[in-house]
Formats: sequence, C-alpha cells, structure tokens
Amino acid sequence: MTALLSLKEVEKDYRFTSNESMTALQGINLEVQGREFIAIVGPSGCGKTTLLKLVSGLIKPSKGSITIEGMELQKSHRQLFGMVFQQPALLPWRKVLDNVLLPCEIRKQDLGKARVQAMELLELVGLKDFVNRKPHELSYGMQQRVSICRALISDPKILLMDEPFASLDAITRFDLAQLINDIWNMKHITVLFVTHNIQEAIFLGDRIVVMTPRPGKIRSIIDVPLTRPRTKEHLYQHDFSLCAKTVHQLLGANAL
Amino acid sequence: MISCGKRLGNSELLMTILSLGCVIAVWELSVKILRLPSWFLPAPSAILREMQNSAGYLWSHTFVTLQEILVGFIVALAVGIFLGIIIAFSPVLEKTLYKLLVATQSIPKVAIAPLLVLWLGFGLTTKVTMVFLMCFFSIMVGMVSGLQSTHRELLELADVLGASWMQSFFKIRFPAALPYLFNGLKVSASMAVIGAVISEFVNADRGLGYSLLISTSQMNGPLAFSIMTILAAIGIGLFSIVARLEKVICPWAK
Ligand SMILES: Nc1ncnc2c1ncn2[C@@H]1O[C@H](COP(=O)(O)OP(=O)(O)OP(=O)(O)O)[C@@H](O)[C@H]1O
Ligand SMILES: [Mg+2]
Repeated sequence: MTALLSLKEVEKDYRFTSNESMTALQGINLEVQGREFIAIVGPSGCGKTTLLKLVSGLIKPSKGSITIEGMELQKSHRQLFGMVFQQPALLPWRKVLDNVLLPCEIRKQDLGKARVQAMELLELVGLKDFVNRKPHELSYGMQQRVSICRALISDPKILLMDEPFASLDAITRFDLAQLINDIWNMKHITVLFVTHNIQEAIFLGDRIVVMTPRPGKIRSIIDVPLTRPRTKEHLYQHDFSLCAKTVHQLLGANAL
Repeated sequence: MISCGKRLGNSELLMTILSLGCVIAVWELSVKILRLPSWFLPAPSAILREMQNSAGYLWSHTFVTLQEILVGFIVALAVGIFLGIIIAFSPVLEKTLYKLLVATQSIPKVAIAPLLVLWLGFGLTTKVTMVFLMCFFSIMVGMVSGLQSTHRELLELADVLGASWMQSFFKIRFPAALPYLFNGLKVSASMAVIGAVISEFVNADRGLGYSLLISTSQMNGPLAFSIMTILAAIGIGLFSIVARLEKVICPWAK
C-alpha cells in the first residue's frame, strides 16, 4: 500500500544573500498513512516549520523527493491541504463567516454550498453565535477556532498545524486540543501537528516525530501506546507518563 | 462597554471645548486690560467681527486656496497610491526610485517654491504642484509600508490556496495596507495647507496666503487673524474628514 504522504531523503538548504548556505533539514524519511495523526516535536530552530512548508509545497526540497499517493508533489495537490498557524491570521475587515469562506472564494467554489458547510463547522467549534462578528470582537482562543474552521472548509485531506496553540493559556489550550481530537475522530483526516508541548503531542498523536537541531534530522519516531478514542483519562495512565519520559529523554538537554 | 467609551468620548470633547474657551477668554481679557493695539494682537471678538464684515472677500480667497488644496491632495493621493503599489512590488524600483525619492525629501520644499514659478508660471498649476509635493511622499510611504507588512501567514495561506496575484492583492494585501495608508493621509492633510500657503507667499494674486501677506503689510491685524483662523479650520477639517473615513473604512485599526 502506498503511503498518503512520503518523504525520501529530503534535504533543505537555505541560501542567504551573502551566498552562504545553511542546511535546515537533512535526511528526512517519513511515511504517513491516510488518517494518521503525526505530532512533531523538537527544539526551536530544528526545521519543523520548514518541514510543513515543504509538505505543503510552499518551498521546494534541495534534495530528495516528496510524494502524495505515489505521485510527485505538485501544484494541483494544494487543494489537499488545510493550514493553521500559531497566529489566527484572520482578515480583520471580514466577519467570522466570511473569513471561513476565504479559501472557497479564492478557489472559486460554490459559495452557497460552502456557506452551509461553514455554518456547520462554526457550530462544531462552538461559535454559532459569533458568525457575524468581526475577529477583533473575539478572544484569541475564539479567533484560533475560526482559523481552524477556515482550514477545514472544503474538506482538506491533510491538515498542517504549526504550533497552533502556542500563544494560548493552558486551559484554552487543552480545550482546543480536545476539539482537534474530536474533529479528527469525526472527519478522519490526516494531521501533521507541530508542537512544543509533549503532553499535547502524546494526547493527540498516533506517532511522534522527535527532531534534533542543526541540521534538523529525525531522531526517532515513537508509536504512542494509547488507545483511541482519546479521553482525559488517558492523561493519568501509566503508559502516558512512560511515553512522556521517552520523548523527554530523546529531546535530551533540549527538552522543555 | 460601549456606553463607557461614549462617556469618555463626550468628556474628552467637553474638556477640549472648555480649555479652548479658557484660552479665548484669557486672550480677550488680556487684550482689553493691556490695551494691546489691534495690529499687534486683535481680541477674539474683533476677529469675529472682521470675519462677518469681510465675509465676501474672505470667501472668495478661501475658495481659491481650498481648490488648490483639494486638487493637490487628490492628485497626491492618486500618484502616492500608484507609486506605492509599484514600488512595494518591485525590488528594483525600491532600490532605485524609492531611494531617490527619499533622498529628495531632504530638500526643503520652501526652496523649490520659487523654482516652481519659474517652471510652471503664475497660475493654479504651480500651487497645486506645491500642495502635491508636500502631500504625496507620506501617502506613498504609507502605501509601501502597508503593502510590505502583510502578515507572513496570510501570504503563505494565499499561496497554498493557489491565489492569483490579483486575488491576493485585492482580497488580502490592499485592504490590510489601508490603516498604513490612512496614517500617511493624516500626515499629509496638514501638510497640504502649508503647501498652498507657501506657494501663495511666493507668487500669487489671490488666495488666503496672498491676502495674509496683504493684510499684514497693511497692519490689518483682525483680517490677518481671520485668515489664519480659516487656514486652521481647513487643516482641521481635512484631517477630520480623513480620520472619519478611516473609522468607517477600517474600524479594526487602532
Ligand atoms: N526563509 C529562510 N531563509 C533562511 N533561513 C531560514 C528561513 N526559514 C528558516 N530558516 C532557518 O532554518 C532553520 C529552521 O527554521 P524553522 O523555522 O523551520 O524552525 P522551527 O523548528 O519551526 O523553529 P521554531 O520552533 O522556533 O518555530 C532555522 O535555523 C532558521 O534560521
Ligand atoms: Mg516554527
């Protein structure tokens, strides 16, 4: 069976204007199956964002190959992706609903149908009563929920999330982690989820990719030994703490 | 929350009116008590009387200056936005044209005023050009920096969504740049009045700057102060219009 997403010996060098170059990622091998939840952890600057940019096609690898269902990654694959960033990055002049519809407008999709889907998504994340508000009238956590809806509209196959909860307080953070968990259960999409939070990675992930810095390499890929569906109870299981310990040790001195 | 904001706004307005009233009262009283001659410092009441008496004369000159200011401002708006857009998207133009324009800004524009007369003659064009020169730079800078400070995430999103250049410009970059553009507009609103007055000082046979020169040479204090009041009112009016437009067009800007 061909993997949904496959990276083979991928390397990324950044060239600076002074003609020096820096290897951000090296020898990345990763196979992701459909409906898998991959959490990516690693010290700051190890190339996690670079990895997501490579997968989405925003930047090209310097060496190696990236394939989607066996096909070389190309422009037409872009509609498979949904993106969530650390900042909500909403358009302040658009109301919540229209922010969620932005991808459909740009892709020139049927807006009537999209509007129905957008309303469903906003209801799912608990923002039904805020669809006509402007982003600045919402809390930061609510704005991030909107940006999750924007990523999920028009049913992406692969959701790329780059530290989506890093700017949130611990309580909101866990709320949103549970939300992502629910969404994953419901939609069965594939997720690549970058985080600095080991608990979050274990709670959400099927596998955890642990990275090392400069040049960024994959140190190890860990299978999370927890059953699905995940609930709060898992947080207090012995397997959970064992897994956390393993990740901590792999991160070594760089652990947070 | 809304009512709190409103109350604050009202009390702020009240404070402004009160302090302005105090200044005017002190002014009026000191002129009366010190018996200052009207060519030196006319009392506010004398200025008001003069404005009523010379209403026709003042209005005809106000019309001329207002015309120079508005035409110059609108041309500056169009040129500033256009140059801002092409510079923001062309690294070559940014390194050449933009640098050049920034460098020429250090030339005091008052020094150019006599040259403009030489090049463009005595008419309206000269004055409009001066207003334009005073205004366009901050509008252009606002446009450039606005277009260049779009959130990186938004640009990446547009890219992944496969947005065309036009789509990302009209749906994301341009609206996101509007608060910066309005900052530039607010700066240039007050510069516009200065530009018109300077060019009328240098050479004119009508306009508020011209009549200001005449009135001071005739030691007509009340008239000179009437003219200055009108000039201030034009500046404040232009600024308020821009500020109001900003509130309507981009209410999210702080
Ligand atoms: N556009 C770029 N040009 C040059 N170097 C870059 C660029 N983007 C990233 N880098 C470099 O590549 C390395 C990896 O960056 P990246 O942003 O992928 O790290 P990260 O793991 O996401 O870090 P963080 O956890 O802080 O977000 C860094 O050393 C960074 O300096
Ligand atoms: Mg990053």
